[in-house]
Amino acid sequence: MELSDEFVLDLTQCQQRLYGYIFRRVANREQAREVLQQTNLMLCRKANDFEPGTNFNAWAITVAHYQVLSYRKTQARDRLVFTDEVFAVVAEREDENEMHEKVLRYLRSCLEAMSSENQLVIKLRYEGGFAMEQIAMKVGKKVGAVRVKLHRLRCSLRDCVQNQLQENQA
Amino acid sequence: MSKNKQTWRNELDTLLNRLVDDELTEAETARLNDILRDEPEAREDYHAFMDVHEALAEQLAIPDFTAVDKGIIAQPQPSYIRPLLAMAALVMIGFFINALVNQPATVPSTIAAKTPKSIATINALSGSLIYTGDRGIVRKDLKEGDSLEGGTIEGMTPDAWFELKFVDGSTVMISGNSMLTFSDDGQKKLRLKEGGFSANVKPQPKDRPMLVQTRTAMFEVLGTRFSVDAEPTAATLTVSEGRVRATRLSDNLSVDVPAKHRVVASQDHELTPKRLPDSISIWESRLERGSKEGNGDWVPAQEGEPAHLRAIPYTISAKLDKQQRTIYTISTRVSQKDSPSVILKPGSRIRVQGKMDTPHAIWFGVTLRRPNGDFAGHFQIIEPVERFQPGETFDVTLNPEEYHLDPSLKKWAAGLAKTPFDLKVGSVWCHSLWDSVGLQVSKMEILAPEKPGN
Repeated sequence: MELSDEFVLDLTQCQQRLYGYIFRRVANREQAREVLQQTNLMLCRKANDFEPGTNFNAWAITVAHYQVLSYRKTQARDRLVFTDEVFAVVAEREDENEMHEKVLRYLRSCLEAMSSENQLVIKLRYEGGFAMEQIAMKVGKKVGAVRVKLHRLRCSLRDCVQNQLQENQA
Repeated sequence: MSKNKQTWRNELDTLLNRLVDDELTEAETARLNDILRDEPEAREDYHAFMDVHEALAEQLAIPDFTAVDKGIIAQPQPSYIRPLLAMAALVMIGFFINALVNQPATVPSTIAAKTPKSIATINALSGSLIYTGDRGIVRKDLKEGDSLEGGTIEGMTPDAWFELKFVDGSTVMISGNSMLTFSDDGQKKLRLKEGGFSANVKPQPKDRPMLVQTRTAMFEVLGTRFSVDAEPTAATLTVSEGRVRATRLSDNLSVDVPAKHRVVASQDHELTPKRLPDSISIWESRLERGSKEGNGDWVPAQEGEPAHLRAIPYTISAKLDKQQRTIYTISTRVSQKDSPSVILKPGSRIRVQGKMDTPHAIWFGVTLRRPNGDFAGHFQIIEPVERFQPGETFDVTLNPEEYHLDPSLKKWAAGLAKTPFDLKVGSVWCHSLWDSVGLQVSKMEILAPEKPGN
């Protein structure tokens, strides 16, 4: 498998996006990683099909879409989080790329507006990759309290981003 | 908002949080499906929540490229992929046989020169590393399983770690800020410019021992376990198994160093192997001695301020982090030269004194080695921003029992230490992630466990 440096760079850079795309359709971390791995294999095998200069992300997302469909066919129903009916409506969203860039932009200002204590909890979870128990130990709180706090923080960040999206649409 | 809508919305928030934390039960999964099926607005909420979850991961997470490694490097695959790979392999074998049948009798020298021979593969790695290949190709995107054709590997940060396996099964390992050049043209030759490395060497041909060169010494190895720490004016060889011949380059004097012995090759040391001294559990940095004591921007004592190290930046390659963020890092070497090994004991404490311009969460850590010099892990703790005041000195005393293995090493956790105790402390370090906050350190100490009753 002979891959150009440019191809490997594009593939590396789109990993987080691909994972996000797959995760919201399979709704399970382990399964998302499995599908991502298969998608990467398929992208490497089809590397010669990609036309340099065209949109790599869009091409990779298309491949990921078919890998998700293929994965669902091979799995027993009780392993899948979403039923076919729900998967069909969740998977149909089309404007993800455009929305993603906007969300990234607004999220930065929403994060900055948070207290340093709240930022720490978010950073420990996402930057440090720590489990709930480890975060609890570090901030000196009970696991249940940390879980509730993290839930509230995610929801408040979502609300903050949504408000900014609406304000800028108006 | 209607009562019904409020109810499912609150429920959905909880379910989505549990979903992204991998905590959904079967009953909750069914309920999530019901809400998403019955409430069109819930689908919008689902995407809004996932948009933020993904953006947080993209903005904050240290990239994990395991899935890329698995895509590019052959790995065990799910069972239904295997037939496909087998078919692909058959096609490749067909091409290979065809190429063999049709290849010219001799390979043109220009083609041969373009295909450097792989001499080793990467067994494991973490932290920031730069590899320069034989033809001057610089790579920062090294992955486990990569084949290398010889070159120079450089650890850029105190948390860097790299293990290389030669074709004959011999392994060498560098950790921290180290630079090692390696080659194998029938005889393995290594040059340690700075830092430390350890090796487990399979028996080598008698007439072609592994050669390890530093600025001050040459070591000849026929098969053994040992470690080397190199500074500009001295190299310390520690032999844990077997025997190594050490030659001081300045006067060509040689000695054989047996197992459990150490020799320092420098102008101001007698070249005599000495039995490894007993370990100690107390240590303090001596930054007033100069810049060699640590890795950082050294500032001498002035105007009432003690000598200190200022954090130096290391920017992650765009291939590993497209935002190209920067780590600001300081480290000091602990166990070195002919001084006894320093080990942490349960009850030990680590004390760090310093200052920073802008308060920020700081990662404090230690790099540990096994008695034979092998890398045993980085253990670390994050101190929250609240512990620090802008422009004021800080003095933190940390409990190593609260340290945990660096999450980036979890893939190799089974082969690394479970706790930071009873292992040789290679270095003590601290860093801030992404922001330059004017971090400086004037003293680091390992405090002995308090005796009962004190």
